Amino acid sequence: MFLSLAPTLTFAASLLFISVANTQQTPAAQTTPVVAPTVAPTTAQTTQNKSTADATVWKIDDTHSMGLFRVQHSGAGMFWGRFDGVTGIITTSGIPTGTLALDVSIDTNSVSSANKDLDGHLRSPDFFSVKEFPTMTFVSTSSKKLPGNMWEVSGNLTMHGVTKLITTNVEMTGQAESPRGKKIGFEAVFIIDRSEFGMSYGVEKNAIGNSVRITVALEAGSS
Amino acid sequence: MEMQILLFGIALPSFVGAAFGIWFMRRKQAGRLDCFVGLALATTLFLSAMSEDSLIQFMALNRWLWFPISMLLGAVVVGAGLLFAQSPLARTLVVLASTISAAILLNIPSWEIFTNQLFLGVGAATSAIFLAQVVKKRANISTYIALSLSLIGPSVLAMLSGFAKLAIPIGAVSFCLGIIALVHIAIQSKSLDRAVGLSGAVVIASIAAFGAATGFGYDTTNLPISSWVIAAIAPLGLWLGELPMIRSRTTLSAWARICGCAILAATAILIAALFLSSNSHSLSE
Repeated sequence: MFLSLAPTLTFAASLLFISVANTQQTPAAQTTPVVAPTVAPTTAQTTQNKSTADATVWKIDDTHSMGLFRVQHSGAGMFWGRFDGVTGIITTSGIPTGTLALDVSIDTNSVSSANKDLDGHLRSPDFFSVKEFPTMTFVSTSSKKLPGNMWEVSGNLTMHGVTKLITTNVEMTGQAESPRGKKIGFEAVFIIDRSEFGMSYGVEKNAIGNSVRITVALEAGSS
Repeated sequence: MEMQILLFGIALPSFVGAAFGIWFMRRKQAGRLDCFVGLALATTLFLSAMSEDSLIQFMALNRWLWFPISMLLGAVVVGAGLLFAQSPLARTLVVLASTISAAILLNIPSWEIFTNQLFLGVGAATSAIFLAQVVKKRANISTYIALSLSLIGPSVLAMLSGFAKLAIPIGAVSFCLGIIALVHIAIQSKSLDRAVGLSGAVVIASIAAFGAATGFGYDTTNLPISSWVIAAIAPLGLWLGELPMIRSRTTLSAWARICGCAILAATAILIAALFLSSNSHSLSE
């Protein structure tokens, strides 16, 4: 009797295991271990915007904006890649002395290295896993005006399913009035350890460096 | 770097898996031997995958690692189930339980939907049952070599699609089967003649099918689906040795089994390679 029931019991046990595993799996896959802050970025940003009467909202021009990254290959040369799908909103108040808020999204599928084989590898789960994580985002939570055209901006960078608080200097590269309306440009350069974002392929074997220098160049128009 | 990948990604896991499998095969428990070979192969896959990625981080970050986990679960289910299942119906149910449970656990892009998972699980079970028919009759060195060659298909496709972390563990299982073949030559033990068994057939068919499904799910190079499908069924190339005019001739049948698997794996790779080269050509124009 027991022998004939064994396969059924095995099947039932495996289904039970799966239901438990999937229960744990789904939240885990969606949970992003945010280091800080505890306040939701959008709330902070909204508060910041509301407090300033002369806030200007700028829409990022995806044609003239880009993200660039630089990482060491084989412990020798520097490898460069770029992202083209940069979109989002920049909110300024009282330029050049006021606050700055950034809400930037990058389409990870737009990664390009000018080499088709390498692009396929960069999109795979070895690196950006674009099917699982189609965007990376930066949402600022606070900004501090520095001398000149510089701001110190803190915010949450979400990449590869992990969110980390980073702080970077942002430079306003220019502001102009064109026939197509007002334009403004910003550039930020910062360095991250990609393994902190769960992107560790080739790190232990020193094939591809852990430290990645990211440059984000933005051009936006007032909407 | 390549040496480290070969050592920790392929050689070490496959030696552990082969030693594990051979140890079970040599135990004098006739009739129960084939319960554990699948577990040995799944362990190889698991160890190799873990050498490529961190187990601690996989829950949050790397969903693809559900592939080796699901194969390990499938191997445990089929191994445990076969200890008790006696009748053909009961064994079929065990195979279904193993592949469907593994498919549900897979949870990767394109395969999160239950109907897709069910389709994948039943497909893998069908492939495993067909594979087991030949493995049961022809448990000898040619079977190991053929199965080893068949897994090169999904491994190389994963590599061509840029997914090295998937290619290496599947390659390790292929390597493990090759080592078992070598041990078979060296030892010439009768107990090794039942080595692959039903559990081995289930795990090999599942690794081919689920490995191809995982590669397809994450593929951003848009390799033709036909290449993934052929890679998924490559182990069934063993049936070439069962053609009526061949099966009675021992040597010819053995070569036909090897060629059958090799042809299917090579066809899958060729379709993918031609697709990639034609795409490169059009871009350069």
